[in-house]
Amino acid sequence: MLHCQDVSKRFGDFVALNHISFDLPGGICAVLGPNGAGKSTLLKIVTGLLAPDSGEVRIAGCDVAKESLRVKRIIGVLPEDLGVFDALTVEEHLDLCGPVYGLGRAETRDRRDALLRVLGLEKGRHTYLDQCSHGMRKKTALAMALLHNPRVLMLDEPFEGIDPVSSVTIRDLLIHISRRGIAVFLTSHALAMIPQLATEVMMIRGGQIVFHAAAGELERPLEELYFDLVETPQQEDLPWLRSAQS
Amino acid sequence: MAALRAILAALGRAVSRDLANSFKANNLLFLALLGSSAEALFLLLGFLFLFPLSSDPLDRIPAARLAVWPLSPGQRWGLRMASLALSPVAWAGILILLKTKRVGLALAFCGLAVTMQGALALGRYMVKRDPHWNVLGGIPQLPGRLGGLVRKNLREMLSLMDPYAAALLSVGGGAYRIFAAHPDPAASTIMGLLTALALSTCGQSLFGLDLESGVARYHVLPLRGWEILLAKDIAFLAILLVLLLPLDPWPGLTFGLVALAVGHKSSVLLELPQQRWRFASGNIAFGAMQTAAGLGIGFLEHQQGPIVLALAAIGCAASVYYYGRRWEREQWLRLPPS
Repeated sequence: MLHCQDVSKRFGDFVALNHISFDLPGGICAVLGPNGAGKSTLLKIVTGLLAPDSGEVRIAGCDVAKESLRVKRIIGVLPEDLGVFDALTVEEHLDLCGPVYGLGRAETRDRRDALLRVLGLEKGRHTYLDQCSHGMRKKTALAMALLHNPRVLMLDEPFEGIDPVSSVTIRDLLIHISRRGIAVFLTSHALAMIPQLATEVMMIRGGQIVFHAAAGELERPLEELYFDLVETPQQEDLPWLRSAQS
Repeated sequence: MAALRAILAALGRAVSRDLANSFKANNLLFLALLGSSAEALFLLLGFLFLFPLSSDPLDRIPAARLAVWPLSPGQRWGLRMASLALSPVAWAGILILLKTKRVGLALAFCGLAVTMQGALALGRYMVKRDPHWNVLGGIPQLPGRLGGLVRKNLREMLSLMDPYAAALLSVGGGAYRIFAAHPDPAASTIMGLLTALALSTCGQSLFGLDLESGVARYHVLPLRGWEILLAKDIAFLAILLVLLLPLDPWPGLTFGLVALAVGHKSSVLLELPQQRWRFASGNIAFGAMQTAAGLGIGFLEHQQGPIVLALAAIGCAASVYYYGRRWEREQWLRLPPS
């Protein structure tokens, strides 16, 4: 469903992605890595938000660079900065998206109401996005990604800033839709959530894939693997942080 | 003292930036060419300008941040007092006092500014309590594929001060047309063109209020660049057309089309900063082009008739298509890393 071949991206001297290649036939692929590892850049490139310096990305057989409009119709995206407008309410965001994706008025309304219900946004449906909490903004953006029934879902940090109940709701929703054939490609820092959710795990460090395997084939706990392969927690003491008594 | 000095220095920078962005190269500056014959007009525009000027300088520090800083009550009081000196309204009040020597007038001016801020704060509070109080929320979704985007663009544009300055001109021109004993027929055309001029700076920064988040959404939606620009233009022209109805609409509409055709380039390539409830920020070169071409072609429409309007519409459509493609290309390559 998602094919990424030899993708590289530089920003000046900084190499954000270095010859990344992978295939995602379906299921849920979780991309893990520290801040600045290249996860969001990779997501921007596979969604067509950013042009790679080299390489090719195909989604459902369509070249993201050459057939961007076709690709946009079949993917649902939760971008890093959410892609929401302060001048619209939660509900109006979904009303905006329906016709753009070719949905009729009644269908948009039905799907909108269902998504607002499932994501716990019903109470705040008339709230303007500049007055919403970060979690509400994120859930609105997620609802926008789901509204048109995409074939591939690309989510940047879907669990960051989300309350525990909504996190479980989103996790279960993603599991259900992936079983119905929607491929999910997500980035995350929520290591505890990934083993319950992902069918594939990919780890990125310094713009390169350092680990890519089926989630069921992990020989060690994910956290241990992550600390080993990607980033070891800093152990340095800060002696100036002490109680006044000592 | 060092803490207060640091906070006040930061506040001073924030106020000066805000001030600079409140009226940066707005096309209303070209109205100054009208000279002393437009005193009443400038008075009305000055009244509108009072809205952005009168905001509390201390509001620029997030309330939660200010609350957690370890400042004594005395320091907080000092900060409150010192911050008032950073208010442009206080400076204007002192200027009025020095020029007129009338304490009452200066105090009345400051009182008006405080009342305006009070009204705005009350409005914000009401909207926060119940979003239905948001007047702009009454704008319905327009039909069609781009209807939701046009609604959003209408709301964004109406959260700039420029449409209200244009509305003052429109109402003034309309009142003259209706109530004057022998209205000059040319006045309606001229007021229509000035109304379009007052709105035209918005056409220079059509993406100014979308922020990075909004731009990311445009890229995710299955829309062409020209469709996104078209949704912006429809909102601009809809507001302009309503404002032109009491006047001679066609020369003003021609001005609007020309202003958009010129403004697409700056909108796509310059990314001029924009703030809500401020006058639109423009670029002096693009503003001069919009004004000169808009007035010239607008007057030509008045003389030659609808053919000029049709040609302006074709030019604007070509500009939408060309800069729509440029926008797709430029933005795709420009997005920064996370």
